[in-house]
Amino acid sequence: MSETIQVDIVTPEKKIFSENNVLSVNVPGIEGDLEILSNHIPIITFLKPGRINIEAEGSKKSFFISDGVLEFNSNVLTILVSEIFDTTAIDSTTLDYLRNKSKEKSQRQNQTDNEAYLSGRFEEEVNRLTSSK
Amino acid sequence: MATLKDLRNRIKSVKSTQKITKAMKMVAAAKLRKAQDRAEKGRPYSDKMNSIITNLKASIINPSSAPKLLVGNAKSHKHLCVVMTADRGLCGGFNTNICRRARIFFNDIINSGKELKIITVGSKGNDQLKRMYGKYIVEKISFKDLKKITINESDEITTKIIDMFKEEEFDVCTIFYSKFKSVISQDPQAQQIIPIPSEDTSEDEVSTQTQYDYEPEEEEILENLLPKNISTQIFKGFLENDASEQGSRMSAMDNATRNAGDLINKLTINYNRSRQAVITKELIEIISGAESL
Repeated sequence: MSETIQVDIVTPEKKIFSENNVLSVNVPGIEGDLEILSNHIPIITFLKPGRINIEAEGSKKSFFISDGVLEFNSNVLTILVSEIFDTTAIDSTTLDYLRNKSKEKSQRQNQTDNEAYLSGRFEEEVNRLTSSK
Repeated sequence: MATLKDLRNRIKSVKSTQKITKAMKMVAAAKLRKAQDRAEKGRPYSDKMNSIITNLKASIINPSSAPKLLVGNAKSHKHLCVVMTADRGLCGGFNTNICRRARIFFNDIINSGKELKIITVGSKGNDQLKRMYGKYIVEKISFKDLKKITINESDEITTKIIDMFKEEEFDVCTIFYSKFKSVISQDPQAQQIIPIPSEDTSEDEVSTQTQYDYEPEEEEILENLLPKNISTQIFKGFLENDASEQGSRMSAMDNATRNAGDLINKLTINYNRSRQAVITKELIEIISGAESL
């Protein structure tokens, strides 16, 4: 079996990332972070706000996501996200946008526990991004 | 017979019409490229979403406990149809084709004695359908003022649809849009989104066989994923529609430009003929006048 996996990250607007020489992917799964290597069992899970770290042959990439769905099957990993930002390309405008969004999310009324947890996580992650810049 | 001046005026007006249609064609062509790009780039997302949902559906053992959005509420009496059209005209048969497709569906529903509710998205569809089906239209949505439709707009529609479903205002929801095939061919489609139609097992047998690990439980994933899927499908409808509209407009305007050219040629020939006739007539008058002296 091959040691690498195919990774596709798609948004409703376009394909963000598509490579087939990926060694490992680290994603923020809803029930805990996951590291996906080749021959992982088939899995479908939600993602919470956080970072996706991709380690490909000879290169590393990192993205920030606000939510997503992950599917892994026979060494093909598909991540569906509604918004994604390359962490190296995040500048002050993106940060402002994210911060506003996080404020908006946390002020929303009638949240379920799950939603409240997710918006809390979002805030936390945005803060972490801010401090790392 | 039309006088020379009349002909001259007509030629002038056709020429300016031709200029307009030509400009519209150029604009449509430029927009088409962008819209087509978006539609094609958006396809992987909705396809993947669909395949995940199909996989999930296959893994559900007990349909009675499954979310209603997936399996429906076991009835098909009340139908909700979301007809997605453009907000602008002058794009050939684009809006009409979608409406025609929808009308066939509507008549089926009405003839079989079922209840029909219509949501129109885009003002042109509403204009065409309100004459015959006005009393069935429950909501009209238009994003005329927006330059670019994003996923937020389809979320808005989705929320409305899901609220209606929860109130049990309908059992089956179908969306109508036009799938973009190429500039000259757009395919009006009817796609059922609630409940998710069962796939032909022959097609996806291999992929549905895989046993997935779910985190969290299947039901919980479905609960969250289904509204997203509806929104995605509607968004796909928007993107496909946008590309189809521009493609359709481009070919319609191309035809119009060509027709205007033909008309100008014909009118010019007419004009020259009658001009020569006038000259000949004047000459005859002069000569016969001189002869009679």
